[in-house]
Amino acid sequence: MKTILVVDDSRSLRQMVAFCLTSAGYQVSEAADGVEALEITQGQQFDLILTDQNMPRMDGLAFIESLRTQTAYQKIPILMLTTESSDEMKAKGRAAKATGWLVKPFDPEKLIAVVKKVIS
Amino acid sequence: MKTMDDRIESATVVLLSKLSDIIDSHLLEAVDDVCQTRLILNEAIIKLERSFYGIQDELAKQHRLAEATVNDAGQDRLTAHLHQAIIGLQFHDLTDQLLQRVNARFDGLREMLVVMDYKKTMVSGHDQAEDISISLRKADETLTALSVKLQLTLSKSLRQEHMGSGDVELF
Repeated sequence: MKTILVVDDSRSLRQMVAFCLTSAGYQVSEAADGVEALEITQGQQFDLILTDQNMPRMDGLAFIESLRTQTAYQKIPILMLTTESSDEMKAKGRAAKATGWLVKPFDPEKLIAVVKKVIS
Repeated sequence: MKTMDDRIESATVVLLSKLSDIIDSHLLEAVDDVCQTRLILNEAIIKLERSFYGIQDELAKQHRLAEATVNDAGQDRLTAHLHQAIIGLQFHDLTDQLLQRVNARFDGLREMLVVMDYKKTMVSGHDQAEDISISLRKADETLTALSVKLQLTLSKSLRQEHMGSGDVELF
């Protein structure tokens, strides 16, 4: 079973993403910010990371940049799921080596389709 | 007997201090209201989610029990409703972010009000007419700096004006 780490400071959002992905057959772990996510990724390998941008302690871009320095996570797909929709922020995401950018609110069907596409 | 300058200075000091106090007390009330709104919204969303996931679980159980009687069209309609509900429930994340921004802006404004309180920011060591002029100029500079800082901290990132699902872009 493919494993996905969902990183978001909103508990309700994490729960909804986890619900959709679990229903689609994925195993989901959760983290509330970049710092917690980095701690989790130290001890576990995931097949995909789905992260928010604006979070306390460490935001999504800083988290991706840090994660990409780890050999185990250089090729793992990382999707941003955020309220941020500006071209400037998307460019920063691309520079940080994110795989894609999804703007909230997310549509469960589209989310699952994108996850399927990048995880394969 | 007080000169005209003395009277103007005295009135300005009273006005700025009073204005600062009045606005600060109203902003404090507004902060309280926003916090209360967040608490209520948070509790409401927890209850809604619990019910939502409960309904979904029950539907899934019934669907498994009576698989033969539920047709594909019925299942598709259920899935469509479910997806729309998930999109709708995300209002909590969006509104919570906006409310946090509102409160952060109130805090910033309260910080600026301290600068406007002439009694607290008065410059000493000059004659009275010069004092008020220097203090006001300093207050103006500080207010501008605080406003710029607040604007930079709270640069608007959430531009959603409806609950339609957002764009998807793969790099």
